[in-house]
Amino acid sequence: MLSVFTATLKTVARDRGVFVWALAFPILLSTIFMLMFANIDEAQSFDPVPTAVVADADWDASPLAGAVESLAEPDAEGSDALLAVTAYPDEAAARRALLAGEVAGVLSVDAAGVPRLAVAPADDGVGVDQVNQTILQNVVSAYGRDRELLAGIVAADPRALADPDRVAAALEPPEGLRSVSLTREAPTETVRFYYALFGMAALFGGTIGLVAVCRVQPNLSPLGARCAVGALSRGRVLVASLAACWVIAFACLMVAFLYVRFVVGVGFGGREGLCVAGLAAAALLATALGTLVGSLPKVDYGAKTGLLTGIVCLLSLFAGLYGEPCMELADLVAREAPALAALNPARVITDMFYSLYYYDSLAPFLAKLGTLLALAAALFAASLAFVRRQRYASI
Amino acid sequence: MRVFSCALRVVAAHPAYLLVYVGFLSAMGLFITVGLSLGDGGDFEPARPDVAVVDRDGGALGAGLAEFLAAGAEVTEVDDEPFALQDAVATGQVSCLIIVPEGFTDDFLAAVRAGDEPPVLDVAFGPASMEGMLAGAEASQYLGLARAAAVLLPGAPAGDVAARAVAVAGEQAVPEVVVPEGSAASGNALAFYLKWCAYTLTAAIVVSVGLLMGAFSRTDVRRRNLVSPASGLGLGLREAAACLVVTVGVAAVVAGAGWAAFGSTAAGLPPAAHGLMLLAVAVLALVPLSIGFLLGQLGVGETASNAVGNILGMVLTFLGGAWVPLSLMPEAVVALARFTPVYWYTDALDRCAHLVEPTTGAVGAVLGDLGLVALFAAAVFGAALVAGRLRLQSAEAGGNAAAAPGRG
Repeated sequence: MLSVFTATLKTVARDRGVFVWALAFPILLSTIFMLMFANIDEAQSFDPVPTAVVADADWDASPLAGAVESLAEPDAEGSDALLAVTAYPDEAAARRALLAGEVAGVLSVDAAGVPRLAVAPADDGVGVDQVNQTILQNVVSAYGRDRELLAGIVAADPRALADPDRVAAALEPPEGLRSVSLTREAPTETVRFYYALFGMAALFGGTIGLVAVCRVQPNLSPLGARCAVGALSRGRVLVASLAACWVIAFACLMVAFLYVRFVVGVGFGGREGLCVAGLAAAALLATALGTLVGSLPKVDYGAKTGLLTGIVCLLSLFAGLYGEPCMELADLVAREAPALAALNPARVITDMFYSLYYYDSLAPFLAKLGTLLALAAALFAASLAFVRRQRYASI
Repeated sequence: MRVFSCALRVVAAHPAYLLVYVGFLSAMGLFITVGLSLGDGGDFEPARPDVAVVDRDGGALGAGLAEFLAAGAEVTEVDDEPFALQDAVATGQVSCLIIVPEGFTDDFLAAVRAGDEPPVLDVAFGPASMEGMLAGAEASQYLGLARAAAVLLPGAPAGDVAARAVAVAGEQAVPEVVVPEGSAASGNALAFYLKWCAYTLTAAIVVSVGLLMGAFSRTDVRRRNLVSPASGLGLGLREAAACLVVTVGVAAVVAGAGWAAFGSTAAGLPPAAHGLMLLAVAVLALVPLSIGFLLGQLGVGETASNAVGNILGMVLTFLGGAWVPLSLMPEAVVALARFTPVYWYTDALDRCAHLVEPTTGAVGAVLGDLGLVALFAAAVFGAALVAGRLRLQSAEAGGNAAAAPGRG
């Protein structure tokens, strides 16, 4: 058994093709992510809304001008300004900038002193335009709300607005909110891409199991035929081969993990040890998936690799790997059909890292780990049904 | 003809790839595009962030806050226990979670009426930080209104103060939506779908063409073909024709699905814009065609061409700005992205989506982008021809190198 183990280890390790998926893929894609997301988490935690104002006499006379000016300055805590304001001499110039996509909206004040907001159709597809426009809508709404409130107050007590200084002081916006973090690490938009990447990379480790299982199938390779007539029972050959596959899949994931942790610099909530345990379970699941696909009867090797790739792409899509709109779709599916998400191994692996990153309690992590092991057991059991008692050739 | 039909049979014998890469990925592109608000309607739709108010105070101001926020946000209930709070923020169930501390209502009113700094609310933001900021800005506005009411009506009870702030929540400005002249509808949805499909096209065509070429460039098949009466050129041309048919087929399915689903939303665009978008798909398809051709020339096997097609598809699509907007990326990456064909493809589609008036300049800019995409295809194709030539002469293929001195 040990010799089958070491022989499988050597033969699989010599097959460079399997490392493309299990090793080169996560390293390449995480490097791309590292380049792409270099400033998203720092700078894009909040980008000021690019805003145009029509700086005419009406604007200068309006209280909105002062309010907008104060929103364009960083607050006392040094956090970012809400708006990045550009002044235009007239409406036409501001609207040209709007249609050219340089600003999210145009603020102006008409001759009657009523503030106006003009926006262009939101079309970036990820909701940034829409949020920016709504922020500007709120800025303008604030003016109307203050006016309505004062109208209500004056109706209740006509003397309440007698002192203009007191009114101005009352309408000064208070420092009302303090940002706190409830989770172990502050939520960021980018870690999820890396975690989803691990979900996909781990499952692609299944190609290793697939290759090994195909090699020990007597009808798929001469090596399998030789093994089948050898002295070692079929079960033992399989167990030894799969153990070797797991070792290689796990080793590949570990290399990718070390790269992502130390070269790319992605945080794992200071729980790297538990991540390693999670990766071991993920490698086991991947091996089980590869075994199941590899053991499908009457399907040739090429079709099996195609099938495995297809399954992994499908599962990864619902883990949210392919861009932000895809993440929204994945979240929608997870909310509407939690059972599907709970059984999608790519999503479970992604969520497992997530639970380490965000939660103080280890219970969510252990639940995901348990799910992975249970899924792996189910897949192994299913493949056993295919591999057992197969007749390859009859006379 | 036999070579041609045999080549097509090779591709047809691997339906899994075509089904997954063409059928399934196109369908995903459709779903994702349908789920987006792309502003094709021309109406303003405000963003409605998900928020939760955890009221530990139980006073009038906390209750009023939830009511006020409900005017512009989806307010969800979250249990006030550590795990549920973490879960709500971590899973993005809420983009903004506001905690009203015990005694807040009384402390707030007392402080603002005495002219002191009022107590603050703790707020935790989820991963969607922009939406979180939006909800936070609304909460700040509520506190401002409550403060104004409390200061100006010093005798008003907390319930009255909160009610006055809540009463004006519905007072929301209605923005004017400025639509570029003459375009009631734009091609945003169609362009977004086609951008998404850069991955579908790349992966499907590289894999299918790589598979086809790989089958023909296996050493013994190649040797058999070379000794056949068919000329090398004729053989190559027929293989190339089969590759082109596969490419056109994949591009037709991808584009056909897009126009069937989103063609009507882009009906406001002139025929020239539609034509240019279709041309963009066709030109982009030439890039994976030449990559697949190159892989075939290099004798890369099925597993590896599958891997290369898929990984390259993802890398190019990410870098080209089709999945994550390039505006969020550092300048160095944008500079790097200019060296990828998908960047020019997405640029061309963005231009087409707003091509209301097909002036010479506007059409020229799109054609310029597509010309660059075509140049990428030509460069890879040239490399493939060289690689094929070298491989033909290599020892493995039985070429001149096999007869070189020192080889048995």
